[in-house]
Amino acid sequence: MELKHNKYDFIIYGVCLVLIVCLLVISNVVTSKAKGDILYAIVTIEGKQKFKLDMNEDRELVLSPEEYPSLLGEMIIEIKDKKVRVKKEESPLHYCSMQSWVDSVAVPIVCLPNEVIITIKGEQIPENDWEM
Amino acid sequence: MKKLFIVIVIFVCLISGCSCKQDYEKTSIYSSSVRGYLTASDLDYTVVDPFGTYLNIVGYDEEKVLGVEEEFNELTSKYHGLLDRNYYYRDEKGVLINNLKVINDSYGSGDSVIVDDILIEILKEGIKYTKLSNGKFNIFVGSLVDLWDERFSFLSPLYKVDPSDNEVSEAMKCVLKVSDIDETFIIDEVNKSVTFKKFGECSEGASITFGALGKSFFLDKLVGEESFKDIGPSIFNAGQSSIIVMGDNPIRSGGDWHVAIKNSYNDDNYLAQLKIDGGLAVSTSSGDEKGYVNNENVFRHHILDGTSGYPNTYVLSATVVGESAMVMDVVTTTLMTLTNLEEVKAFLNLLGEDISVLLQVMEGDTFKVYINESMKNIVLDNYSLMEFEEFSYGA
Repeated sequence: MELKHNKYDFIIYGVCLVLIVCLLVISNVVTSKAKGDILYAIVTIEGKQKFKLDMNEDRELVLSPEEYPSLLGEMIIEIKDKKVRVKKEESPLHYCSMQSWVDSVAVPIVCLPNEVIITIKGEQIPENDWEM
Repeated sequence: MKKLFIVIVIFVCLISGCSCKQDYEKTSIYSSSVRGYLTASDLDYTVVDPFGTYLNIVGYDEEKVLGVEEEFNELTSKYHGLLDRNYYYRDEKGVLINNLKVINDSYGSGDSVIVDDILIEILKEGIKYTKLSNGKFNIFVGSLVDLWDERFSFLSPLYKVDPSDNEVSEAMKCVLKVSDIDETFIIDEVNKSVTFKKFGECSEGASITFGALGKSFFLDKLVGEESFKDIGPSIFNAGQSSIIVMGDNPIRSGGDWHVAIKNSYNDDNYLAQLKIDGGLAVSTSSGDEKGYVNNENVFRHHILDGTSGYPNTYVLSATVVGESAMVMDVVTTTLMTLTNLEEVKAFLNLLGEDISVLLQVMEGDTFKVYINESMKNIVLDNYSLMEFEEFSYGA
């Protein structure tokens, strides 16, 4: 026996469809907003990722040559106001501490003599692929 | 009912598929430091950053990018070793390489130095653009660079102290003039050798420096290597001021790359956002990346006019887009040495190719931004509060 649909069935289908679409749109908006807010400073030492620091939390990270032999001296990495910098380091020309604050996923901080690289990563599509 | 169900399922799939962005993870590889030997005879060395900066490749195909890492470091080390004028380098057998420092050491001795094809090629290019710019851009300015360099280092006691006119004049004696190049610096392409003869009143201290030319020359070579052509969409960077973008950008619907250019007037803001197609190079030079204001309130930067021995301050920043990273680097460096818009137009016209140009200049007491038509076509956003003025140079 085949069931026949009356017009109320179609109204229910329609309402369900609208609800599904609304739920999908809302969930995507919420997800993308949350993704956009999460930025991390990834600290790589001697080619290996050692720290993933939340850019929303102001803090200082002190690295010592005893713990990381590639360091030429004590290094302090600071995160403040969603920006990161190398506050202190030992190297011949101090390029990476001179670079100062960075807040873009397109700009890394590179301390070659110390073999430390700091990159900002996030889940959002960046406005720029490169900044120069 | 079945039909309705299928329609709903397809619709839901389409909605979710359209609104969920694909996550693209970038992978970067960075150049490693290399050993620079202090003398030609012993084994004392120091750790040196290739080309005085860092180079990296950022790509979206992790496996392919990591797959070229070893070769990237080998090539960086090889090219830096050949093109560096500050240190000596040794090959894997410990044998001294005849690099730019060895050539500079041979100045005035009359000896010919056998060199690699790479050095011959870049020397020819450097001389070509030295002549084209009539010595404004000049690879024979080593003595001047040595005189000025410490003024820009906050570690030096000479930081922010101008050299005296007499010191500049003495250093200029060892800057080879365009008219004397052919008889003084001999490139023997058959025997793969170069001879750096004594000239004028320069008894010692004449030297060649490639400056930014070296790293961008290397970038061009790198993207031309077979193994690097196939690493997918990527950015090849040398020192943040010179890049080549390769392939279609997977995170942009048009496949182009968005590049923000620094604003020399305002550190807190960028000047413009450019839309760059795969295969093109972008170079930017600005005085404020290495500069100071002296005690007479005159701004000094590190890009020196090879004809006067001093930096000029008409162009505050120059950004260009074109096919070769090396040519773009030469162009921005030369533009920084020019003193008015007519000189800018005349030089660009000499190049004989359409290059996208964006200039920040100081005309009298007025800041201005000049842009040519091809650059205007690729500016996505003007981040500054200034209107860009259009100019053309007839290419």
